[in-house]
Amino acid sequence: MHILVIGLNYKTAPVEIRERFAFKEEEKDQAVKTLRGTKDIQECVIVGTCNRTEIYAVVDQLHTGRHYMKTFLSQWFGIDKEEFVDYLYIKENDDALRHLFRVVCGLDSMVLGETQILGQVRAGFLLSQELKATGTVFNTLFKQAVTLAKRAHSETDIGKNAVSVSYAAVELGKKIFGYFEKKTVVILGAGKMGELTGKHLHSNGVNKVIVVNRTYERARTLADKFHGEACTFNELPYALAQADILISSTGADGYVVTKRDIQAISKKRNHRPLFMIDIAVPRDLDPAINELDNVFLYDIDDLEGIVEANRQERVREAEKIGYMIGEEIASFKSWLSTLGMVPVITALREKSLQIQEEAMKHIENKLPDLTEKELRIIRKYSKTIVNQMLHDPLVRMKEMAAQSRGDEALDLFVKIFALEAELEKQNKLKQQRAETEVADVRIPTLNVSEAVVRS
Amino acid sequence: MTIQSWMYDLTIYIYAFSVLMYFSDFIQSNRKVNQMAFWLLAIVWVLQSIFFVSQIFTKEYFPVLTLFETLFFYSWIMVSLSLTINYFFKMDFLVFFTNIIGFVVMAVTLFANPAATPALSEQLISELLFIHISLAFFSYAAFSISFILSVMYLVQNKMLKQKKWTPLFRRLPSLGQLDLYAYRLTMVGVPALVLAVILGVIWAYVVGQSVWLDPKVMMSLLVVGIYSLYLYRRITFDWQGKKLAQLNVAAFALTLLNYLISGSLSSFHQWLR
Repeated sequence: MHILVIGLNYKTAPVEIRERFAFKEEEKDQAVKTLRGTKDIQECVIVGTCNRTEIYAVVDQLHTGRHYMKTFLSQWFGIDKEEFVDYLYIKENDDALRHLFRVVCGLDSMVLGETQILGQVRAGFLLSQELKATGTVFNTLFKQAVTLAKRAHSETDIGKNAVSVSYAAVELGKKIFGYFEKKTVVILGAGKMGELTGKHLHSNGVNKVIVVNRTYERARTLADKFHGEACTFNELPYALAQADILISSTGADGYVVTKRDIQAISKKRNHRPLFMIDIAVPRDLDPAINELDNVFLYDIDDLEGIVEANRQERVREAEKIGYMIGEEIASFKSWLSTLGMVPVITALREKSLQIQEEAMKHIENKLPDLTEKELRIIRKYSKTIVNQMLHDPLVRMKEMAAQSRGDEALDLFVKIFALEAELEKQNKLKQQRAETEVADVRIPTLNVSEAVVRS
Repeated sequence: MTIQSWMYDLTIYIYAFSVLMYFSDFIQSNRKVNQMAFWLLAIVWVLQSIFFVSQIFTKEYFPVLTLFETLFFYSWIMVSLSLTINYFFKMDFLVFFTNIIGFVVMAVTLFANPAATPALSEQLISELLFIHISLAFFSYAAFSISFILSVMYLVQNKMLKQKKWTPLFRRLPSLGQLDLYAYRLTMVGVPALVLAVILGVIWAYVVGQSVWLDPKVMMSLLVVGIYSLYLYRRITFDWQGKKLAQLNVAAFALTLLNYLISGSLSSFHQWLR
């Protein structure tokens, strides 16, 4: 049994390719069903966003699994394999686990640490689960992944700080005022950038918006979007006196507001803190204004500086999540290795019981005079011998399977007790059941039996 | 007494752990450690409260008369206030800074004799005196936290001005919050101190002490004055932000001076040793 992920994302494929590999929302059901019906694929989950298309699967054999998954993609989207194999990434077992954990935590996203992807992965998993395309392995793995992502976001600061200029301005404002209720924002110059920042501030609860522009009409149009006031440059001193936040982005050549302008109205403003953002080039606001107490002036470079610092902060937090992922992989693998024990234990039990039954038959043949009661006692104690003999090896084996190189230990165990034939028999049984199950999936009117899915 | 002293040591150890954890969170942001530190601090508070109540019963008076008792009382108020503030208005670092002071004071009490008896004769001890001392220490605690908030304000203000986007900047609360709560705590502290002074004067009158030329009384009046100035400046919008924070820091320095120096010069605050 192997875990495999195959897919393409914004790093490996340009948008022209990605758009051709987007699963349509209404066809996702059918896609999962078809994929689950594909030979060799035991469990599968499809994750599709605008930045990535990925298929996670549990397969019997890596080689055939890869082959069938590629074939599925090629057939579903009607594109020749040669056309897209170069854009694909294929990850197996540990790498696949690591990949899933990184994706779900937002470490593989374009904006590091974003949370949307968590919902998208979860939706993909729930769809597969509903369609019974997941089993023991993925039910555990995806739940663990979702829990990990939630923990990563709550225990680290990865998603905390703004990574765009206009949000950085809002964040900075929060550091100065704490909250925006009862605050007035003045937008100087009805430009695009001013509008965007104004919009963010407005949605963060700013009380009043005043737009100041050279022409009244344009000021009016923008102000109407925020139910605000509009005025021309003549009324600038009035607007400044009211302002708690000033966003300036005019096309003027010289400084529109100077240090002296601010000093002049400081008393009228009761020396309230004033937060000024200058996003114009050339600058509108005299840099000397920042020398005044309780006035905080930032230009576009300062805001870019914050964004850059925040990005680096996210990279640092991502490292912490990296450690968490390492731990999760280890814990999932140890769970998985004990899972491998289950068929071996069954095989050993079956084999030992057969031996015991056989011995019982011999005894009955050789000693025909034994009463029913005597036979029962012999049966009971011979079973006890078998069970006590096997008890310690099984306990030890469970321990060893959970440790590193558990696979090898398991192989050795199978060899020592010569369980190959027994396991083979089990596998065949399983395959038969799986095939009937696949037939069930292909004919959706038939219900898939619960027991088979759980196996 | 043995159970009490054993509990006292335990409290100090847990307190130390809590402060260390807050320090580790301060150096390298870690929410889990922060939460654990918070719960340890809650345990410290419970232990302190038990210790305090048991002291009331064994000593048979409200234990705020000796140096040991007053410092312990102060550190207990600091823990209580910081836990309350942290519960209602989550402010990073406030609990840490407050409890550095709280812990240092608690540690100092180790060097004071817990069994010392009040240097005051029985008939001088009255209800008035207990209320006077508790109110005074309550106002000191309020001023201490207000001072911490103002220092945080000045640090944050400096970083905003110099455009330093450090992790410290990210975690310090906003200027608006710091300013508001520094103001509110002073609003609580000033009436408490005024009341304490008035009760002190009444007590002196009752027991026949002359108080007006005592350095402690004069300094206390000065402290009330400078804090009132702070409140006045703020309410009339004469000063805002940075200047107010600086005034608050200066006022606290005077409060500290008042406690440390004029206590020993005073003719009748001698028992606080």
